Amino acid sequence: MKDLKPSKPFSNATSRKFLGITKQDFIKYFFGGNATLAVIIIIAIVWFLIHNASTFFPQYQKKLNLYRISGQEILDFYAKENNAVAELSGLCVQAREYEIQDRLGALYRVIPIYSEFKAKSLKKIIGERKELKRAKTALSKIKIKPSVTNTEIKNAEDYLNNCKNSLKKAISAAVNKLDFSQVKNKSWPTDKKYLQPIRDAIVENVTTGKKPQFISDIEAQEAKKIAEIDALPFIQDLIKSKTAFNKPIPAMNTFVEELRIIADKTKAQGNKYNDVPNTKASLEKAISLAKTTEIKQEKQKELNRLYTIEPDYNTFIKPIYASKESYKIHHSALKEAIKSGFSTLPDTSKFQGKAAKAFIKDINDADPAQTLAELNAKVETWKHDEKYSMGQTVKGFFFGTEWTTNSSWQDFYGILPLLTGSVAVAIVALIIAVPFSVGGAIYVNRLASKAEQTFIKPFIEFIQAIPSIVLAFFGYVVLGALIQEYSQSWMFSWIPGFPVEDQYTILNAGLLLALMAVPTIFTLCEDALNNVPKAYNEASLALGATKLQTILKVILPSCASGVIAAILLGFGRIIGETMVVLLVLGGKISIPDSWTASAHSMTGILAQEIGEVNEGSLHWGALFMVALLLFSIALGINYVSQRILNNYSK
Amino acid sequence: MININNVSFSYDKGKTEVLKNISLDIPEKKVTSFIGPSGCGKSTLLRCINRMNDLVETSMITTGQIDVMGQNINSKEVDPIELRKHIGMVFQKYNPFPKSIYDNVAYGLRIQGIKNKKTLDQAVERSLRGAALWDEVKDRLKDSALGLSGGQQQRLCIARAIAVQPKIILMDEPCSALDPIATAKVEELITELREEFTIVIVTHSMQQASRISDHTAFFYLGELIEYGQTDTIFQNPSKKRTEDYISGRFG
Ligand SMILES: Nc1ncnc2c1ncn2[C@@H]1O[C@H](COP(=O)(O)OP(=O)(O)OP(=O)(O)O)[C@@H](O)[C@H]1O
Ligand SMILES: [Mg+2]
Repeated sequence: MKDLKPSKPFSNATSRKFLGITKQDFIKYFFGGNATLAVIIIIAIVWFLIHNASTFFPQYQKKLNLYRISGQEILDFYAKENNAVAELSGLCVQAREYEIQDRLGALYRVIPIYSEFKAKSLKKIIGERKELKRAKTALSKIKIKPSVTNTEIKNAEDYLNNCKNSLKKAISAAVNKLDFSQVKNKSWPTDKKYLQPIRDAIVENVTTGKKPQFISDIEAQEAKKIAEIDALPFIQDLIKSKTAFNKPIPAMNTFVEELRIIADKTKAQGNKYNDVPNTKASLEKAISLAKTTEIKQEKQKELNRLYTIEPDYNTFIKPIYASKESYKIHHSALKEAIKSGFSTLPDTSKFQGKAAKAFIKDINDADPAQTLAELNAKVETWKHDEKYSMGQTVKGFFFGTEWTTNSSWQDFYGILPLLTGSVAVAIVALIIAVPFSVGGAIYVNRLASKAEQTFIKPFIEFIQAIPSIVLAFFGYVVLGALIQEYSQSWMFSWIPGFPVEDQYTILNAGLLLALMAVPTIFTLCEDALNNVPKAYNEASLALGATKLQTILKVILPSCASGVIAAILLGFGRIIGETMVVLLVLGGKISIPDSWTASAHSMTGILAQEIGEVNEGSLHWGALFMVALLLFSIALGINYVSQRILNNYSK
Repeated sequence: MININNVSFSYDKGKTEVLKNISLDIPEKKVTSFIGPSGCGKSTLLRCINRMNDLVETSMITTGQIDVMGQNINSKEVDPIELRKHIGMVFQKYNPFPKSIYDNVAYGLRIQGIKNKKTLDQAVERSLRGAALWDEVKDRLKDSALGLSGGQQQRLCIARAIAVQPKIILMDEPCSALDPIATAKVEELITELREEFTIVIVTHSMQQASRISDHTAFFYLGELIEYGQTDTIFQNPSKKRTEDYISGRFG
C-alpha cells in the first residue's frame, strides 16, 4: 500500500510486465491466438479441398469429350440395348430355377443339407479320423518292413479295426444329434422322412468314403422331377421365351466387341495426346535435373518422340458411323426377339413359387421396347464431335448414377449411388435412433427416479466412448449374420425388404450407426428438456394434466427446436461416420432399392480409394469433390441446427 | 369447503416437520388469505390442498387429514389428477405456456378431451372475460402469450385456471411480480371471482389481505397462530405475535 501513489489508486503499477505485456494482455492474446488458429485451420482445410477438387470438372469434361469423340459412347448405347434384352433372358432362367426349387420342396434341399451336416459332423470326429489315419500308415509301414512277424501285422490290423469301429461309433453319435432345426438357412423347407437317411448317408460316406446310395437316389429323383417339370407346357413356353430373348444376343455382342477395339485405340491415342503437356513438363523437368548427360540425351530423345499431332478423330470414327447400318439390323433383331419372347411368356398365375412369380413379374414390368426406342433415338442423333458442356459435366457428377473407376473402358464419376447410400443409411439409423434417444431423454429427464437417472445417463453416454471400429467389427462378424438368419423367419416376412439376403446391408450399418447417434441425440435432447422451465410442468399438472399429457403437449412442444437440432446433429454424426459404413455396408456401388440392400457411401469410398489414386488425377479430383460435398453437408447441418437453437433460445 | 384437520407435513419423510398440527376450515365462496413471515409454510399448506407436493417424492403428511368437499384427498381412491381438475392454481411467477393466448386458456379443457371448436371458443371468451382480459386481447388470441405484459400474463394464468370451472382457486402470491396498477387489477378481479369460486390466497401484503379477503390465517414457523375474520385479525388480534407481525414489528 505504501508504494501506491495516492493520486492514482487504481493504476496497475503493481502488475509485472514482460516484453511490455501484462498478465491480462497475455491471457487475452493466448486465447485470442487459439481462436484465430482454429479459424485459420478451417480456412486452410476448405482451401485445400477446393483447390484439389477444382481440377475435377475441366478434367472430367475432357474425358467425357474423348469418350464421345472416340465412339465409345455410341457403342455403350448399342451394348445397353443388348443388355436390356439379355436381362430378360436371364430372368427367364431364374424363374425356371426357382420354380423347380419350389416344386421340389424339401427334396431340393436334401443334398445341401447333407453337405452342411456332413461338414458339421466331421468337425466333431477330428480326433477319431486322425487316429484312423495314423493306424493306416502304421499298418502300411509295418507291411513293408523286412522282418515282420505275423503277430505284428495282426496287432496293427486289430488296432486299425478298433479305430474304424470307434470312428463309426463317433460319427453315429454325432449324426444322431443332428436335426433340421440346426440348418443354417431357416427358410429352407424340410421333411422329416429325409432326416434318418441323411444321417445314415453321412455315416456311410464317412466310414466307406464312397458316395452313398441314398444321395445317388436323391439325385436321380431330382433329375426325374426336373425333367417332369420341364415337360410342363408353361415351362416349355418359358424356355421358348428364354431362347427367343437370347437369340440375337451373341451376334450383337460380337458386333459391339469388334467395334470396341477401334474405339479403344482412338481413345488411347487421344489420351496420349491430351497428356502431352503433362508429359512434356515432367520430361523437361527431368532434363533440367539430370545428373549425367547420358540421362539428359535419353530424356531429350523421349521428348522429341512425343506425339504432338492431334489424332484424326474424324477418320477414326468412320467405321463406327458405318456400323450404324449393321446396327439397324441388330436393332430390329432385338425388337423381334422381344416380341416373340413375350408372345410365349407364361402367365404369372401358372407358377407356384413366390420367387418365380416375382421374376415373371419383373419381366412383365420391364419395358424393353421403350428402352430400345430411347436408346435408338440417342443413336440416331448421336454426333461424335458434339462437345459436352460444363453444365452437362456438372450434372453428370451430381446426378450421375454410375461410379465406375479404374475401368479399362471408361470411368464415370456419378455421385448419386454414394450420396443415396449415405443418406439411406443415415435415415434408417435415425428412424431407429430417434425413438430410443428422444424417448430415453424424456424418460430420464421427466419420469425416472434419481437412482435410475444416475444409472442410465452415464451408461448411454458411455456408448460414445466405444471406438467405431469395434462397433464395425461387431457388425461385420456378428450382427450381419444374426440379421440374415433371423430375418428368414416367417414372423418378419411381412416387412418390406425381408428376408435379408446379404450380411452387409443398410439395415446392419443403420443399426450400428443408430447406436452411435443415440448418445449425441440423447444428450442434446436432455439438455433441451432441462431448459424447459419447471413452471410449465407445474402449471400443466395443476390444471389436472397427466404426466404424459404434460410431456406431449407442453414440454416437448416448448423444446421442439432443441429436439430437432439434436436430431440434426445426430444426422451429422452419422453421415460423417466412416468405419462402420466401410465395413458393414457391403460396398456395392449402386443406388439402393431397399433398406436391406447393400450400398456404398461417400465416406466409405473416400477411405477406400484415396490411398490408391495418383495425385492430381481425375479420380483424385473426383474424390476431393466427394469430400467437399461431405464437408458442405456437415457444414449445412451444423449451420441449420445452430440457427434453430438460436431461434429457440430467443 | 376445505377442512384441514390437525395436519403436520414433512418434506423429508418425517424427519423435520414444516407444518405442525394445523387445523382450519376454509368456507365456500369466500376469500381466505394466508399470511406470515417467509418460510413459515404458507405455500406448503396451499400445495397440500391440490396435492402438488406429490411432485416432491420424499414429502408426506405425517398426521391429520385434509377434506375437500367432504372427501379425504389423501385417501387411496383419490386420483390427484381428478382433484386438480377441481382446484385451480395460480403461481407467484406468472407462467403461461409458450403457446398462443387461445391455446393457453383452452389447454385445461383440451386435456380433458374437449375438442368441439364452439365449446372451446365460448369457454375461452368466458374465461378471458372472467379474468378481465378479454377486451385487451380479443383481437390477438392467436398471438403468443409470452408477448403480453406481466400483469396481463398473470391474468391470463387466472383465466387458464378458471376455464376448467374449478370449485376452488389457490393463489400463491399472485401479485408479487406485478406493479401496483397490475396488482390493483388482479385484486379487483379476485373480489369479482369470489362470487363463483372459493379462493385461497397467499400474500405478503397486509393491505392486500385486508382489502380482499374475508378470512385471514396467520402462520408462524409452521404453526397456525391465529385464524378468523379478516377484520378481527387486523383490528383486534388476540395473539401478541399476530399483532406484532401485522404492525410490522417483525417479519
Ligand atoms: N420442495 C421443498 N423441499 C424441501 N423443503 C422445502 C421445499 N419447499 C419448501 N421447503 C421448506 O419448507 C419450509 C416452508 O416453505 P414454504 O415455501 O411453504 O414457505 P412460505 O411460507 O411459502 O415462504 P415464502 O413466503 O418465502 O414463499 C421452508 O423452510 C422451506 O425451506
Ligand atoms: Mg411461498
